[in-house]
Amino acid sequence: MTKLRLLLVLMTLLVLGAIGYSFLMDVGKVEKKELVKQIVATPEVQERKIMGLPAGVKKEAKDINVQNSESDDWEEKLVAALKIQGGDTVEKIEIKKVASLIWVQNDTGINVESVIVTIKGKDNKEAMFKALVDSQTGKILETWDRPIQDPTNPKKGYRLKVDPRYFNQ
Amino acid sequence: MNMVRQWMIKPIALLPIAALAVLVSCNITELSPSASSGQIAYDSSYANRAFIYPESPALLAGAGYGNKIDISSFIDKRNPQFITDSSQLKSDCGMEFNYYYIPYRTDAVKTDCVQSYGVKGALEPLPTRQADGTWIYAAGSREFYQVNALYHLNKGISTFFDKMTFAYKKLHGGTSLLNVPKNIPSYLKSSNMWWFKGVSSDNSQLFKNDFLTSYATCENFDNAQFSPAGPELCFGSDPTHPNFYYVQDPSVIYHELGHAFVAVMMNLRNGTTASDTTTFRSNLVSHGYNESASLNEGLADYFSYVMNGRTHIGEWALGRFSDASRPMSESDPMHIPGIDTTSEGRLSYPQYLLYDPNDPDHPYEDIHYAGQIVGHYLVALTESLRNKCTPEAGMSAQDTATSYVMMLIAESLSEVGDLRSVGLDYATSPFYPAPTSNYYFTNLDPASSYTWATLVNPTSYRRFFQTMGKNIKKFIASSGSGNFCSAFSMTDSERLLDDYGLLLFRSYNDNGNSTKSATTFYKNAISSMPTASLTNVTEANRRKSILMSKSLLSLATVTSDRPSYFIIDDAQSMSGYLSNLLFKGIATTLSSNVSGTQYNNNNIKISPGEVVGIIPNLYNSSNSTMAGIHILANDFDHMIYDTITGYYKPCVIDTTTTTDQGAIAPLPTNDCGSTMTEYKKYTRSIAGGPYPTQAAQPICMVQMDGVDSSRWVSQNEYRKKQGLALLDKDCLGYSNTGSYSDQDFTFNPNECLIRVLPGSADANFSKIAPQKSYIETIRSSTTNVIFNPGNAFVIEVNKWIPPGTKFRCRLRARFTNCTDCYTDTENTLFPTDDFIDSEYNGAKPFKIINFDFTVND
Repeated sequence: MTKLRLLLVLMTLLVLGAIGYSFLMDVGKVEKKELVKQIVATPEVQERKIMGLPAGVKKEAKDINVQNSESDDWEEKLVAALKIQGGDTVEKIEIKKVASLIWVQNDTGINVESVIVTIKGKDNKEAMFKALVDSQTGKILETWDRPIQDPTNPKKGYRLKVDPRYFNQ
Repeated sequence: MNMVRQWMIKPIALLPIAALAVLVSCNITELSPSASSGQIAYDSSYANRAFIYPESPALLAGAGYGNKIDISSFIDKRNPQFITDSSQLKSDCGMEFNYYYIPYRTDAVKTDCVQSYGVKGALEPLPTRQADGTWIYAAGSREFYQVNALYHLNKGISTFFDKMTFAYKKLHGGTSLLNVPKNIPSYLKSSNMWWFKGVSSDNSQLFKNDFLTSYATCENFDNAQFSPAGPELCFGSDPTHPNFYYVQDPSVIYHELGHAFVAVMMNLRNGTTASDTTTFRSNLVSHGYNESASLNEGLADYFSYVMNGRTHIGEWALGRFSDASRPMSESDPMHIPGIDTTSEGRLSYPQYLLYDPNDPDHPYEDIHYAGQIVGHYLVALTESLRNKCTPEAGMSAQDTATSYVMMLIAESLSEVGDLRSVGLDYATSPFYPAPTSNYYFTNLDPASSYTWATLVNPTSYRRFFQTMGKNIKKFIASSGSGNFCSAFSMTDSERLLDDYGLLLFRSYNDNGNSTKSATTFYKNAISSMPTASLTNVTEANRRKSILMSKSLLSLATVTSDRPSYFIIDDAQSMSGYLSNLLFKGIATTLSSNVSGTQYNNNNIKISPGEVVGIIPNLYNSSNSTMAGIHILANDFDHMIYDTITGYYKPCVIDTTTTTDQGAIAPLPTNDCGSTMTEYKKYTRSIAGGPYPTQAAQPICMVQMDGVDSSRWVSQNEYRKKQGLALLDKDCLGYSNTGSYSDQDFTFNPNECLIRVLPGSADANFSKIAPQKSYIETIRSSTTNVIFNPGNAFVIEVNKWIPPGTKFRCRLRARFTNCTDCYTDTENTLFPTDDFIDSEYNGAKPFKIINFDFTVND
């Protein structure tokens, strides 16, 4: 049993070393704090899929007047926006890209990115939801599949207090 | 702040992880000896089984149970239950599809559709079967709770698919309903929408995982939650009470699973094939109070009743330490005197919207309390059907009744959640969805359906129970096509709805008119459909469900203890609000270059640069309670584009903003006289070009001084003409955080100065007492005056606005028990027919609330 445990410890150290080396080689410019445990599979996108077309209407991307361009840093802008909104309550943000799309509205289109966002708070709170993001500006255009939270006691949920000055004027 | 990004890891880096996982999983009992089944040797009759707690510990323990939590004392050790025959802690899902076209009857199976983990984020492997072939782990261990969670999840999922199989067979298994519009689609099997889309391998990227994940011992305090994006279930704990976990209460597992089923049922129509799905998905959610989320809570409670037949939920997880368990029947002893099962004593809307049975002296605005009305109604409906209907072959009366109600729920949710906007199913083949032409019967059209289903025309109590009532008429009651229960009449249905104050409509809107044209019907889309007819509610059955005119709703006039609206502009509150919004899944891009909470000065006035919460204090001048008040602050069709000046101008939509003040009167010759049937947004036709004429526009106008008079103009006109010289980059809503030089095409210059924050563009209020304002309603019923976050909408204020600038924002308000918010009472031919969806793009169904303010210095 003791030998087995020793073997386990050695194997674990070996594994951790290999992982660390792999990360350092791949993401050398990133601080160690920013390492993520989860593997993200971003699908290879050959051509943007089209969303918002009327039923039965088929179009290809080349047929659509797309208004915006594609930017390499949309994801960084998205994370920046989420940091601004969440402030110091946010501990981690994870972005998983789902697809690159063209959102058609009234005969014109916008390049958008469909993503799954996971926000982790400092008090063990977590929210996961999907978002549609402008491929150029990183602007959040819509969110859906939002979490449904059931607190132990509804009366302990987040509330806005009435400013007492409204009743003392 | 420690931000984390995701990075691709080279495949070779996975090898050592996999090696570790294999090593650990091969000998897990050595790593966690406390979790093993111990010294007892179980024979083969125990294979794939485990000891479980079959019911809530609160029931098993009885009233005299002390404070110590000993889960082992609640385990049924005489009857080990089947868990799974998989080698890991996961199970399959399956549903039968009985279609009338013999021999088309198939079963569908999703392998490993549910998996039971312990702690989220721990990267632990799924537990494996014990060496003796059992799933018996030490009571109280993490694996023990994972096993018990999977047992109850399997039980719930199996029951759900029994009900769905029943519903599909009743609607599609025979020929009697061929030409009856249905919403549960015949092509459900091929679309895979009967479970979370993405469980099929070809669409796994639509969700985070391709299975429903359960975390039995989630490190989420005082909370249980369902995340459809996973999809994930997370059962938390209360750190102040060691050994106490939500997952110990099966009724709470069923409730959370109920939320997952609502998410499934809302999206039954949102895909036709494996490759043809809507990007968005429907659900009944909120970031604070609203009726959609209240419905969801009531439906989730009801599913617990379907599972265990008990009319109470959460006795252990909610009731043991928090006094927050909930009844689902008026006969529950928890209720206050006066609540009983008579018509007069039902838990009716809107009287009991704020009712907390654990603390009845302190009413509270919350979706769980409001949802109790839904749960009580559904249980009462089930009991009525159980008593009146002949049981289906091979089924008990209770099973028959719950199956009928679940069918009605599935049929109703799939209609209100239909983002393809088609809203009916073609009846002659399970393979071809219809109509294939652009006929839309729900949620406007595919381009705007998500906005309609969640913001503009969301599922209120009125919309849901009108749809339920229609389906009762269509399938259950003796007068309908289905006639599943001839002893249950529409009078029975309407009176029961009315007992609960839920007869909130004057017709069933069953004529199926299109979302674009009141004269286009199902028959125009599919020739075999019956000729449209509108069925009115029998008004004699209306005794408690009082409806009133929208003209009785207004902004409260200011008195010494009653403002017209509340402004929240302290930085801490608004930062908290925005953070809460984010953790409710509503992310939004703030205009951080020209506005932010750092400018908030807490003077309860609107000042340059601030991010401000606005809570209109609405007044009810009627003699009845007004309920389900919904205020919209989103873009709508209230301005027209002036091709001469190149600016939008406001239309006259009420008596407040007149032609003398710059508004354009509606005429047959201009677009102010009609409402657009399309919802145009983000739609500039050419790069840098104008928005289309009559496109939906932001709600806030600005007053511009002229030589002789002042007039209301668009924000774009003001910034160009009033000497502000603001460039696009100085405007709210313009994304210029990057290094590129391109234009932001989602930017609208008519929100350059005041911008309603996307994601926080509406406000909801449970009810307003007669002859009172909202704050007076709430103050009379609570000790601490607080607002639900759902009461507020948020505006950004451009820091470059000169103090003294005057704004007018056109809010649109309506409420659930309203006569003329949903029907055109001026239509002499069909005064009870609902507005078509495109009308909600304009002002007509709403009471316009003009929110006037001056930007403070």
